[in-house]
Amino acid sequence: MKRRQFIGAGAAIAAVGMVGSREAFAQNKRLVVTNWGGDWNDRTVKFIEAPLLESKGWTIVRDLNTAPQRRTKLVAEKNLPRGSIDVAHLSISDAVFVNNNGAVDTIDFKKIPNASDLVKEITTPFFLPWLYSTWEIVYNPTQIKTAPTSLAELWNPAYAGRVGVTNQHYQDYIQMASLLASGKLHDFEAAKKKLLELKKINKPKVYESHQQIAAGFKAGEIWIACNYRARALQFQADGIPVNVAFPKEGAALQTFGVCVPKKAQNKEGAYVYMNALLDPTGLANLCQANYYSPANNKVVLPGEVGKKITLTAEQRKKLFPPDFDWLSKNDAAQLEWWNKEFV
Amino acid sequence: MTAGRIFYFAFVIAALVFLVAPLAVIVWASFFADKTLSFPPSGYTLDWYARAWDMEEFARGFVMSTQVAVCATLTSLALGVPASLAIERFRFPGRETLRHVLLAPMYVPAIVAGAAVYLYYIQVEIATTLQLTATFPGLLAAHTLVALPWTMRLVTASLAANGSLAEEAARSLGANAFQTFFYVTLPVIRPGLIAAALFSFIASFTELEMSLFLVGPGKTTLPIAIVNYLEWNLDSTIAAVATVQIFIIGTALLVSDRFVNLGKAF
Amino acid sequence: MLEGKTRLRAGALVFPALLLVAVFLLAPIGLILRFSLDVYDPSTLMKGVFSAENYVKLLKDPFYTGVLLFTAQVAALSTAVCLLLGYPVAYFISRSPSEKLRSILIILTVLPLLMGNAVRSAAWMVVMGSNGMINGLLLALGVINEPIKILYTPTAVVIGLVSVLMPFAIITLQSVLDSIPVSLEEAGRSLGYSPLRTLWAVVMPLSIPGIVAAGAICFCLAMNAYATPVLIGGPSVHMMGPLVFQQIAKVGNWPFGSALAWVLMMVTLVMTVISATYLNRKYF
Repeated sequence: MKRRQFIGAGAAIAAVGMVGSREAFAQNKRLVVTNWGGDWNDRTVKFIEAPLLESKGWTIVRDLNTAPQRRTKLVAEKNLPRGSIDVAHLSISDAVFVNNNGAVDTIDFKKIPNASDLVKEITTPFFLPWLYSTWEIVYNPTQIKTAPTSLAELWNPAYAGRVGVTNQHYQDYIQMASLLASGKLHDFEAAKKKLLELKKINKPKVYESHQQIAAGFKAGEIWIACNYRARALQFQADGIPVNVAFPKEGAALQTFGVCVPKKAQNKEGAYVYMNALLDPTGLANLCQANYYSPANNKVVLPGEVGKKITLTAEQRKKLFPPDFDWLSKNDAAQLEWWNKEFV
Repeated sequence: MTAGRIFYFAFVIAALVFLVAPLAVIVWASFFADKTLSFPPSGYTLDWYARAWDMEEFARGFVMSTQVAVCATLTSLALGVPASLAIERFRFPGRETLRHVLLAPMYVPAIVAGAAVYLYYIQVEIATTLQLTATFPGLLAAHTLVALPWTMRLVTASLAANGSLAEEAARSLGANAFQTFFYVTLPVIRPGLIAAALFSFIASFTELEMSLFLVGPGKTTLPIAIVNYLEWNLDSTIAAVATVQIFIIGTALLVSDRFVNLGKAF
Repeated sequence: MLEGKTRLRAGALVFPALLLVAVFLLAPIGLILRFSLDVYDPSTLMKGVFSAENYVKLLKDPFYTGVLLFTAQVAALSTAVCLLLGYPVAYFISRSPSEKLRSILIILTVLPLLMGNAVRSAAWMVVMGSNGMINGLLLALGVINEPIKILYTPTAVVIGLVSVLMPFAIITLQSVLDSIPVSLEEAGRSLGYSPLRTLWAVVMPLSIPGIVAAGAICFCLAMNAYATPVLIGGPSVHMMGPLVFQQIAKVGNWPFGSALAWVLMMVTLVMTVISATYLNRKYF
């Protein structure tokens, strides 16, 4: 024990980060974290930031906004002498975008003890995976008695005026339409046609984000929509009448995690934060509350929740991870089309 | 009391109700017991006030808004009163153009000014490493810009309404420029000054579009904290925050009504 | 008085304010004019070239010209309603017999202003939403079976804007009406005019500069509005203010956002110049 402490102390002088209490060496305990707001942030605070960081003397300053703003800010700040963000929560496709534009650092996974056993498919050198879920069909079982099996159900004219769409998830909706139209995830032209068809037939109601669409389901305004399985399960737990169904065309896999901006001022703190994000107990508590799957394989989820969120072997075969390079180049065009022609 | 007069009164009352009704509704909604907003409410509670109190973005936003508004008002008066004097009491070529230039912040849309100042600050930071985005001085400069036209309008109107006769008399009796200003001009334009201070404070406190670009983590204003929250939630918590703001500012207005007859200030 | 000394003194008095405006407003606006002539690149954000393609895109793309026209229409409608509703109220305040009543009315008019656009928009969301007050009332009375869509429509935006702008209209009109002596109205009455006719023939013509001023203020504020269109209009209602913010902060297309900003500014500037040249400077 003594020898390890000695080595640890010595190593800390030479290069920061080794086995041992990192908090003691990270002098600056103020972190600026940017994330989505709403209950996503509430849960992040409740299960990770408050118990594992703030209670240990860390001050976390939060900048809550939507993904496009976060992306723009990161790219804009790479030219500045100092950035204002230390840790940025992003989806993996956004992370690829900002990395391709030179705004984030490569992550030294060796500095993060809890990152020793991560789901390989969703790890990249510049992105720390944290939670993931699949984009599936969400429906109201009291109105739609048989569970839908296909994405085409959203186009069913019987549900005219009862289809919901969230503005924030334009990427996911476009990908879903593409899957339905041509079996591929990124057939933008086919997706555009399909979505315009949807607009004509079923006139979907556009909500800004999760909370609003949940309210829509609760009020009976809409009967069917798409969303992450995790969200559907959350709505269920909140008493909203919904069920979730895995579409036969397959589902896009969406991963959420964090990046460290190149111009972050407290990179040491960022590593402590990332370690806390993957803490097995904290993450287990978080996943039981929000029904996302953890990226840390060491997390154990008890029976009920585990059963609901684990994918079957069948479903695993139909998973579509996004093509990040394609998204990097085309996402701006997708957003523009969505804003101009769909909503 | 003719039918016409009754209609007139009813119309005026209806218009005022239309103005004030949203205020009343949101105050009412701040006490609803339901987690998601619904009418009619299932019950009443004070919980949301406790929740809003705990949310640091609102507390911090309120403090920052107040600080910036006070400083912006003082700066705006310090810059705007001399400028108004120059424009109303002196004659020189280009005077009217200058007046319009100084009122420019009012002509430029706030969202345009906000975008422009933001991009400008970023270029300044790249060139000189001086950070202005997400800082108090950066916000203050923008808010002073917002307040300045209000100061200028109200002080020039006050100066114009009270001609320079008394001042000229004082000068001819031997008073110098400073004495004339402090003993003759200032007392006469005091209502205008107070109105200017009040409106500058309001303009800064409620400023939204410029601040959108210029706030940052930990340094945000109350209107922006509210808009950010509304992007995710519409519930009684935000109604509680709004009610607190209404209460505080309403009180401030009533208090200042003691010192300045607001009826005469406009 | 020595001309030179006067000019120097005037210059010194006006210099600090002028410096602030020049450095923090005029320079930035010039900067974004330059940016608007640049071209967007996702990695460097701007390529550093000169090109008019942003303006071409704006004026040729039917979506963007549509947004501009739509914003102008909404602004014009809101202004018209504001003046129609605000004039009688302003007249009432101006001619009110007791100082106390006048004070109370002015406070009532100004108080909503102080709530700020964000809070007021939130209040209208509570009133107009599908779970809101109006729907709650209509459902409870059995007039409708399911919520009607009021929020997230252009009508809702007009209502929201009118409520935001009316205090400006009332205060401006009221201060103008204050300067029209009551004796003129009494003269009209003594000639046999009814109160309404007096208003129409005597007061209104004299208050036209005020009406123009109030109209210009309301139009500009509506045209440039951000919070109301975003919160009450929702994602499907596209107006210029939110579009500028979206391009600059969300899409990161600074050149195009700058072009949008300049076009917005030009439109409101033209409106203001028209009204200013028409205006009697006494009221402005």
